[in-house]
Amino acid sequence: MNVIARDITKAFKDATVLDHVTVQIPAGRVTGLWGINGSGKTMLMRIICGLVRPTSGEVLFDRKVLGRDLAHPLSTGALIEGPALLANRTGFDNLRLIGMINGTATDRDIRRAIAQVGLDPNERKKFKKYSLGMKQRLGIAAAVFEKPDLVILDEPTNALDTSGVEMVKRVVAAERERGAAVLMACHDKSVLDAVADHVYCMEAGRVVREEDPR
Amino acid sequence: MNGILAHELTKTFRNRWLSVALAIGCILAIVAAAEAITTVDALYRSMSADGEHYGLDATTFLGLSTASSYGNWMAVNANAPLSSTVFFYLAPLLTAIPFSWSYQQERDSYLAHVLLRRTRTQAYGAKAAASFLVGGTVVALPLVLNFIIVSCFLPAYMPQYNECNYTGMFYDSYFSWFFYNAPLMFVALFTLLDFCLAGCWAVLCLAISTLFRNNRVATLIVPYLGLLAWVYLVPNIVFANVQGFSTDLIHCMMATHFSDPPEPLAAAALLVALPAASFVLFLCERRRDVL
Amino acid sequence: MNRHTTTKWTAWRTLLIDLRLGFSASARWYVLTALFALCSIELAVAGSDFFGIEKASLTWADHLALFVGGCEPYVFRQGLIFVPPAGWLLGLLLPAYMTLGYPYRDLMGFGQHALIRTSRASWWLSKCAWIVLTVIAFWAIVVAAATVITVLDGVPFSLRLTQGAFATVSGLANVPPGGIGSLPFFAGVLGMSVALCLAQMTLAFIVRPSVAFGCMAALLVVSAHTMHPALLGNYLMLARLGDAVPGGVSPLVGLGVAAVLAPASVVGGLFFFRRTDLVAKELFA
Repeated sequence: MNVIARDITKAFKDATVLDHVTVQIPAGRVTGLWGINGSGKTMLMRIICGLVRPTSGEVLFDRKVLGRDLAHPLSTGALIEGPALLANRTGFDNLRLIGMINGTATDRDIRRAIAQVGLDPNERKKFKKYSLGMKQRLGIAAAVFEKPDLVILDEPTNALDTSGVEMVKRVVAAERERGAAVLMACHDKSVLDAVADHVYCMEAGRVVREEDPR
Repeated sequence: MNGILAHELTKTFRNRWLSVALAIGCILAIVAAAEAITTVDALYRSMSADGEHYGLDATTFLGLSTASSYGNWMAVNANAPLSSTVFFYLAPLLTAIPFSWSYQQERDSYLAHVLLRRTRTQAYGAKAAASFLVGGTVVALPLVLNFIIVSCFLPAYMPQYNECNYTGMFYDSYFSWFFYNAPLMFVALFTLLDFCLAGCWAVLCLAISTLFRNNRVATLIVPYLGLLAWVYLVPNIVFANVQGFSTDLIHCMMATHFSDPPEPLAAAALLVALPAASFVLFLCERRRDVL
Repeated sequence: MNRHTTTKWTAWRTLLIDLRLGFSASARWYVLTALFALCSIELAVAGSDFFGIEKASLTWADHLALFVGGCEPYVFRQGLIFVPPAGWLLGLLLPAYMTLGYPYRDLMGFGQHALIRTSRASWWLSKCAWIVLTVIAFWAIVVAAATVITVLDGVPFSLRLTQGAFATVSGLANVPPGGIGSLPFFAGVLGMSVALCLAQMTLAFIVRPSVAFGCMAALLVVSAHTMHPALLGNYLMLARLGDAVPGGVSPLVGLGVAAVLAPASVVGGLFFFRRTDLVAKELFA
C-alpha cells in the first residue's frame, strides 16, 4: 500500500503547524521524518492517521482519499507521542483488546510481537507498573502486531537504551522486509540514517530538504 | 461492528468500578428489603398483639398490597424504606461511575488505537452502547435482587386497587394495570424501563464528558448536579400552577410518587430526549481533532 | 543579593497560588451559585404565598435562611414516599462539588511542583485553607443574593427569623412573635458546611473524589429523612432548628461538632497524606 500526504496544511488560530507539506510513504520502504521539537512531525502523523483533519490537503491510501473515500486509515498501526495503553491490564491483555477490534491478529501474533520488542509475553505485571522503556517497547509492539500495511512510529527510541534502539532498527527492518510502508519520526538523525530509505527534514512546519541516506 | 463492540464491552464489564457501583447498589437494595420486611413484620406483630387478623384470612384487612412482595419491591416502595430513596437519588451517580469517564480518559491517548481501525461513528457508537448496557445493569440488578429478597420473605399477595392510597400506585401510574392484574409482569416491565432510563442517562454522561478536558470529577458530578437542578427548578417554575407530573429522571425511575404522579409521557420523552442530546454532543465531538 | 537565589516556597506562597489557580477553576461556579441562590430564595419567598405568609413580613434573615429551608422530617405513612428537598440538596452539594476537584487535580498536576519545593504538610494545610476560603466565598455569595432580594422586596434588614420563614418549610415550628436570633443558626450552617467539605476532601484522598461526593449526598438525603443530632445535615436545615422546632437540633451543638470535625479531618488527612505514596494514580475520579 502506498500512502501520500499531499500538500498538507494545518493552521490553528494562532499558529500554522504545517505548511504545504507533501510526503510519500511507499510500500516496502522506510520513510523518515527528521526535525527538532515543534517542527510538525507529530501533527503530520496524526493527520495521516486521521486523528486530525488538515486545514487543506489530503491523505491518500492507494489513491483513496482519507475522509472522503475512507472513513479511517487502511490497515495502520501507530505509536504516536507515547504508548497509550490501558493502565490496569497486562501487556498481552492490552494488545488482545486492541486486536479484538479488527479480529485479525491471533494470540500467537501478539506473543510474537511482544517477544520481538524484547518483552516477556507472559508478564503478569500491569501496564501501569511498567518502566518507561517497557511501555515504549509495548507501544511499538502495539503498532506492529497486526502486521499492518502502514506502520507509523513517532520517536520510537524515546526512553530506550542502546539495546532498545537496536531493537527498533531490527523491527523497522523486519517491517520493511514484510512489505509494509513505514513512516518513522526521530530527532536522532543517526537512527534515521541507519534505517531510512528516504528522509524528509522538517523545520517550522515545512519540508526544507529531502535525503536518501541508504 | 462486532469487534469494536466486543472491545468496548470487554473494557466495560471487566472494570472494577462496575463492581463498586454494583456493590453499592446491591447493598442499598438489600437494606431496603430488610427495612420493608421488618416494617411488615412489626405491623403483623402489632396487629397480633391487638388481636386483629391479617393476611388472606382477614376479611377487613386493607393491607394485602402493602404486605406483599410486589408492594414492598423498592420501586413501588409501599412501606417507604429510606434506603430505597437513597438508591434512587444516588442511581444517576452510580450509573455514571463504571464507564462514563472512559472517553475522557482515552481521548488523548488510547482512542487513537481505536480510530485507526474504525470510524468515529463506530467508535462512539460502540462506546455509547457499552455505556448504555452497563448503566442499565447498575440499576436493574439491584432492583432484581431486591425483588428476589422480598419475595423470599413476603407473600405474593395480588395487589388490590382499593388499597391504592397505601401503595401510591394510582390509575395513572406507570403500568398500573399490570401491577393490579399481572404484578410479576409489572416488575419485569418496570425493571426494563429503569434499565433503559438508567442506560440513556449513562450515555448522556458519556456524551457530556466530551465537554470536559481532563476533569473526571466534573464528568461524574456535573450531570448529577444538573439533574438535581432539573428536579428542583422545573416543577417550581414551569409547572408551578399545575397539578404537575414528574419529568425528571429520578422520579421517572420510581413507580410511585405521592404528590406528582409519574407521567408515562414524561418517561417516553426522556427516552427520546436523553439519547437525542447525547447524539448531538457526539456529533459535535466527531468533528474535533484528536490531539 | 544573588538573583539566582532560589525562592523559598512556603505554605503561604502555596496558598496564594492555590487561591489563584483554585479561583480560576471555580470562577464560573461562583456565577452559577449567585444565579441559583437568587432563583432559590426568590422561589421560596414566592412560595410563601401558598402558606398564607405575607412577603412583607419576611426579613433579611428569613431570606437567607430560606436558602437552606429544607423540609420536615419524614413521618412514615404507607403510600407516602419520602421526597428529599431537591433545592436544599443542590444548595449544599454545590460547595461540596466546588471544593472537591481542585485539590485532587492539583496533586496529580501542577501541585507536584509545590510538593518538591515545600513540605507535604504545607501543601495539605494550604488546600485546607483554600477549602475554608472557598466555602466562605460561597456563602458570601448566598448572603449577597439574599441581600439583593431583600432590597428588591423592600423588607427590613433584620437578623430575626420570623414564623413566616419556618411556615414555608415546617408546620411544626413555633416562633415567638418577636422572632428568634439567626446568628447562631447561620454560624452553625457555615461551620458545619466548612467541616463537611474538609471531611469530604480527606475522604476523597483516602478513597476517591466521586465516592466522597456520593457519601456527602447520601448523608444529606438521610439527614433530610430523619431528624437526629448525629445526622450532620440537620444542622444545615432551617426546618430542624431546635430553637423553633420541637425536637430540633441546637446550632451551638452543631458548631461544637463542626469545631471537632474540621480539625479532625485536617489532622487525619495530613496523617494519611504524609504517609501515602504519591505515584501517578490511574486518573479516575
